[in-house]
Amino acid sequence: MSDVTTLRRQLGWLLLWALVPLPFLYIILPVFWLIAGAAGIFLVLRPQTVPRPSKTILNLVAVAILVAVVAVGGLNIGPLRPLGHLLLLLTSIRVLVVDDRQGFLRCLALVGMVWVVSVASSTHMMAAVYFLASAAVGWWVGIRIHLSGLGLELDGRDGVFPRPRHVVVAVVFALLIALPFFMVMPRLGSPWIAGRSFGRTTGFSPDVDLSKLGRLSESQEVALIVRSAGGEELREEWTRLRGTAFDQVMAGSWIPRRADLRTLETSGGVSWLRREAGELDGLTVLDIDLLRPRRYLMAPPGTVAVQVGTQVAMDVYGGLLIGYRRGQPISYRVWVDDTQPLPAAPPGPRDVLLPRDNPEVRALSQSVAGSLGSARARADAVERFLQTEYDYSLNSGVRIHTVDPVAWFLLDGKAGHCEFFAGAMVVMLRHLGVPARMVGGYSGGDISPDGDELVVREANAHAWVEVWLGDGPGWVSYDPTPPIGVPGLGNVSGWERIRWAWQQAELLWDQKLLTFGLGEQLDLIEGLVEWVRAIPNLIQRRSVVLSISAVVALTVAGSLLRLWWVRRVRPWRVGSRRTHGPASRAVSRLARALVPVGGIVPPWSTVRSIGRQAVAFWPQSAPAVEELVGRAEDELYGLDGHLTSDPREIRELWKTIRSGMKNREMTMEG
Amino acid sequence: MSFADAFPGFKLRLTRWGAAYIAGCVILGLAAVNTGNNALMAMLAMALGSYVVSGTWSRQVLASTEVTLRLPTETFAGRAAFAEVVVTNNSRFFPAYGLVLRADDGSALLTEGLVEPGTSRRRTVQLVFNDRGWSRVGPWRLEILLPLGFFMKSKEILTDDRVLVLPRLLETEPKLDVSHGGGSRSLELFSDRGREAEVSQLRDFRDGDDQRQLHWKQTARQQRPIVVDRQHAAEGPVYLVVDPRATDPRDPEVLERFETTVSEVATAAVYRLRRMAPVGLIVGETVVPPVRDAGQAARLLRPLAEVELGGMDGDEPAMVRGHEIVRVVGAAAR
Repeated sequence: MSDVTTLRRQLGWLLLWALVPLPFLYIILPVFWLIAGAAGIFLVLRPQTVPRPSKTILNLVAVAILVAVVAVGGLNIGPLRPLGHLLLLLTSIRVLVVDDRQGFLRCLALVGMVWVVSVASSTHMMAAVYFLASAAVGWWVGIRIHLSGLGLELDGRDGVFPRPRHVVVAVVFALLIALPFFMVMPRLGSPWIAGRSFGRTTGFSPDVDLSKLGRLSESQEVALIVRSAGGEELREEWTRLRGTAFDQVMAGSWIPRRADLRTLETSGGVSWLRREAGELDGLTVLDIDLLRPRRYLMAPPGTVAVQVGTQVAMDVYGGLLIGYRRGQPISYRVWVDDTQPLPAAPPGPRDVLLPRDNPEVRALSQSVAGSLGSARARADAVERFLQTEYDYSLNSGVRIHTVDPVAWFLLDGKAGHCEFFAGAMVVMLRHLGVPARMVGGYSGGDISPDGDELVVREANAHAWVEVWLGDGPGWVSYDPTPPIGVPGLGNVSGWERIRWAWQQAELLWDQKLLTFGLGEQLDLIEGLVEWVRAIPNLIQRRSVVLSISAVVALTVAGSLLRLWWVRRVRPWRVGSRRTHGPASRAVSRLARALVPVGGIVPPWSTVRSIGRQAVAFWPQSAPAVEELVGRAEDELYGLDGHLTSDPREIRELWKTIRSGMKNREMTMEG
Repeated sequence: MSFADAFPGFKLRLTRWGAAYIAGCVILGLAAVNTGNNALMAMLAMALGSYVVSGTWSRQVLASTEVTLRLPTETFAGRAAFAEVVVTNNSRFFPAYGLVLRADDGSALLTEGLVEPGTSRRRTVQLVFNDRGWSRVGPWRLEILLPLGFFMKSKEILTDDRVLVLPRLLETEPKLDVSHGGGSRSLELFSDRGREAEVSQLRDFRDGDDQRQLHWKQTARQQRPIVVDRQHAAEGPVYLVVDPRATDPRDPEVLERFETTVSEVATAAVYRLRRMAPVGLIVGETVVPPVRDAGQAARLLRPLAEVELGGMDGDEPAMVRGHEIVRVVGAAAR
């Protein structure tokens, strides 16, 4: 096989490798990566066939590429996707006509760009595995390219170049050096950064952001983590975390009232929601990490006090409002007392305000619950009606700017997500004269095996309804969304522990890599500064002295163990480890195999004496043993420069010797 | 160890591959900062990490690699000589990939794919010296491009080895114009004189043997050509005399003629020794007593390798009485 053929096949494999993530992404349409994949497969299977199209055909292909890119949307869908399509088609054509080393090197740049597009578009945790494997592939290919450029044989009798272990070690060290680079790279908040948007409010759309409380998409990004500070199990009612309530619809979205904010009474760093609760002792303490902070803190029902490192105010709906933080995670502690009902202000005029007075919706409301007397009965009827007569769907298809989304949902669409259901219930109850409001927050999550930790994802964002049932019961929660649409609680047990561990890994991936940003960098610096400041205190602590003593003792013990290992008496070993070749290693194995059958192999045995004994024990293997001994002597004492044998040949010899050994054993047993 | 000791004559050259890599890193960095995409950040970090590892690796390998040279014992001008080169990687951890040893003219003497840490590779390289006399080997350069080939790093391999290049041997035995006593005779006459000597051995025919040496009976019996080596012990020793004096030793034409003369004398001496005919040498004032064995040829060839053409004020070649003298007329007499 000629060099060009080898290079073309190598290029094909690299192209296929670069395409691996694309089928799992949405950025490149399948037809484009399929074309590139076909080109890669062609190169792998038929590298010797080099298409040589005329210039006319190439010009026509160029036009066809442009037409194809424009036909699937062009720049109307942003610059990245058409550029990706263009890159894939150009690469597909260019790699096919490679016929020399220079062309191969130029195409490597194109394939590298395809790889960059693939990796940069990936968000799944498995992308990390692919990334590291790609680093190893890059090192492997890079070394081979340069070695072949020197005219060296890469798969000859000296083995395969480069050695895989060298590549792995290089990648590990490169990774270790890359980590600090990754952490200190500038992540500035410049207006040119096209990063994550935190201010999106889309209202009734599948990608609804519940007024900056949570995104109701299928995102598995972790939104917040709730931990029990005392280690006790989390109660199910605490898994519905409330942001705030919305009382009015504006521009297609439910929004909260921003007025009437109340500054919380603070003492000792703790802000009190209900000062009358008295002392904090005896209350359940929950630590919450809000990884995607919006304007509101999430808190379980019955929250008495909150401790957070920023100013916090409470709106009239009990929502805890904080200052604007650009994506920086926030940790806080809440004290929960669910023995007392949630204090709440009585309904105001906005709690009965109708966004639009739609006669058909009014009629529908009347037909469902108009005949019922009490507010509770009406609320129960409307909730049941919505749960049974309407379907849950994340993709409603409504155009929120042209129609009234609630009326559309109730009368036409009859399918939607939780915000449609909650909004519809609120509107229907208000038509019936019952004060109601929509509440946004999170529901459910994954509970740890010990039950003391809850991981809540963006997909757990949920909207439900609070209905005013009079001065006694006050505001009571209703959830009109069908159970299938209510984010549930996942208990982790049995084999699901694996899934939990996987989710924890995903959490790390999400926090430490995917969304690592300026906030994490600042936290890192802050932690480093605190750690440096704490050094004097640490030195004074007895435990630190003990720790250092333990490290010293372990080091000494390890050194002694290493010394023993190096100097231990072994039956036979081949000179220095560094001079080992495959044949001499095989003779070592042969020496070890001799001991159990009665062979005498003292440390001063020569290769030839081992061979003689082996022939005596296993005469059927005599030719292979003699050949092996000769190879080992060449490796150990030869002067011709080719000091190592071909590992594959030695493997074959060893197999022959082993079969001779087995035959001998069978004869003895027989 | 200082940098100069570890890297004598260190050179660093950015390769095209390295330039493309740096350009790629810059573009990647711009894209990463502009988009805030952490995958791009990770790619850039890994690229920089690989850059550091590759540079450290190649530097350590270059510092810890030694090249030792063992020159051949006999080197003739214009003929290939095979020297033994041992490349040793003294590093404990870093394998040496893609080492290239270059001669002072830039040609690659050897390319080593891999030298594992703490091991040596022994290779043979072919050397050709054009001029006789003392010649210094090197300086050679040890280059390393790997592992990822961003920079071509090289250092000089300094050796104290000097090699005495013996005179160029001619393809055929020369027919020298010699002065013998008062007349002129061919040198072949001396070799012909031993034709009738005693048979010393029978052996296989070798290229260059005279067909007249064939032993026909043995050849017919053994079905392969057998020649007769004859003992020339009875033959009296012959001195070859080289007169290194010239009226204009700087004249290139004179120099060339002198070199040709030296080559002819060396060739004649070697051919005589192959026939085991004793031959001595007189070069200027230096007199080498006759030797008989080819293994002693160096005693004749060394003075011939070192002789330099001088002016007419030099000493006249010494004379040895009681022996036949073949006076090779040097450049001065022509």
